[in-house]
Amino acid sequence: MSGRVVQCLICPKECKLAEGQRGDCRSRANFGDKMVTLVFGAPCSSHIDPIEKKPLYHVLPASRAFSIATAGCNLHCKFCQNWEISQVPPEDIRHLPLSPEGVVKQAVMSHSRSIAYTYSEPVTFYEYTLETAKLARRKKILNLLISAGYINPEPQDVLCQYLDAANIDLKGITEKFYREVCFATLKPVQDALIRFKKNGVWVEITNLIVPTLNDEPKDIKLLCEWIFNELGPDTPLHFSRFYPMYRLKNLPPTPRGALIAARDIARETGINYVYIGNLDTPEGSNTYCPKCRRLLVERRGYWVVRNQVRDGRCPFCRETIPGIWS
Amino acid sequence: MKRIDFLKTLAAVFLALGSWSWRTILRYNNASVVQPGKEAMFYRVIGSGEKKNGGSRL
Repeated sequence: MSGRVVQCLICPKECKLAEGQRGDCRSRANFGDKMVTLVFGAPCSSHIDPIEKKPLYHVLPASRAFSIATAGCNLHCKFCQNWEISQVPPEDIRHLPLSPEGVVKQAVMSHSRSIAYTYSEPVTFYEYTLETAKLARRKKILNLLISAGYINPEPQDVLCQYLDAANIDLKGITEKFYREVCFATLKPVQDALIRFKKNGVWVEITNLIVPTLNDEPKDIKLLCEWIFNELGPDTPLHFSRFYPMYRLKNLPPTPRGALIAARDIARETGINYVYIGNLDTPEGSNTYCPKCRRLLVERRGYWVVRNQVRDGRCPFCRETIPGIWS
Repeated sequence: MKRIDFLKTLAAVFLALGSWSWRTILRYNNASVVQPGKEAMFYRVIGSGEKKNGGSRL
């Protein structure tokens, strides 16, 4: 044992670890003066999902996304909806060996057009994500990152070379919320969102509305204005319904009215594509043309009933609908 | 001689079966055991005197 300290530089937490210690994410550790990942090739979840589940509504609608996750997360949101896998160390959960080659092979075999690094937090299984993404790109399979976006600039820029699309959780718009509820900070997430955009990665945003914690209309307005000004009006925004989970079982599910009010605020701010998730609402998941207001993609839950987008355009007024459509 | 050949074959079969089943058992047992895996990217080694702020010990 040499006893030297290593500092992880993958996320803004930048954990400094003594020999044998592991990071805040529980999946990276100092072994003999080296930082090692404990979850490479060891997913605790692998599943074939409709891409709408990610949610990515402007990327290959109705296609399959081969989805993987490993244990651990660098955030500890009190409302985590996947806490059984994200808030546990890898040894506490069953996982099976699946190499990056194996992931790509299974994606091909299942006719998945994309691989999603999702469920928990792909920043903590960065090396597995990167290696798989490189192989997937060679097979012309899209790479989708579903993340909290809490990542340092350098690793992000490297990963962006192989990413096609990302759905990033913008969990709130105040530092207070990020510090007290998520045990993280807001600024790095905002910076990462801007960098994804600059790197040419298609970005959609999810905001989980938690009653009493981030549902103030003025905060929703601030969040929408930030997206409008920094990422542009064509960035799809998904408001998602909270269900009592993990450390917030004392709160009720998000009322229907709060989600609809949030959607109205986003539309008034000028965001063109606003969706409601985790709630069965008529029209809440549909895509409309921002110019002629005609229905373009009709969705029911995760299923696409009708997709009328042709060559990335509205078939009625020829308005360009941004996204990856083919 | 025939008997020795038969015993040799039998031993080989047992060894093969044993090895396969043992590897299978190990594989599924290890499924929930964390192995120090691949070297991570993006880290730096700093002096032993630095303040540590990491999480739990392994």
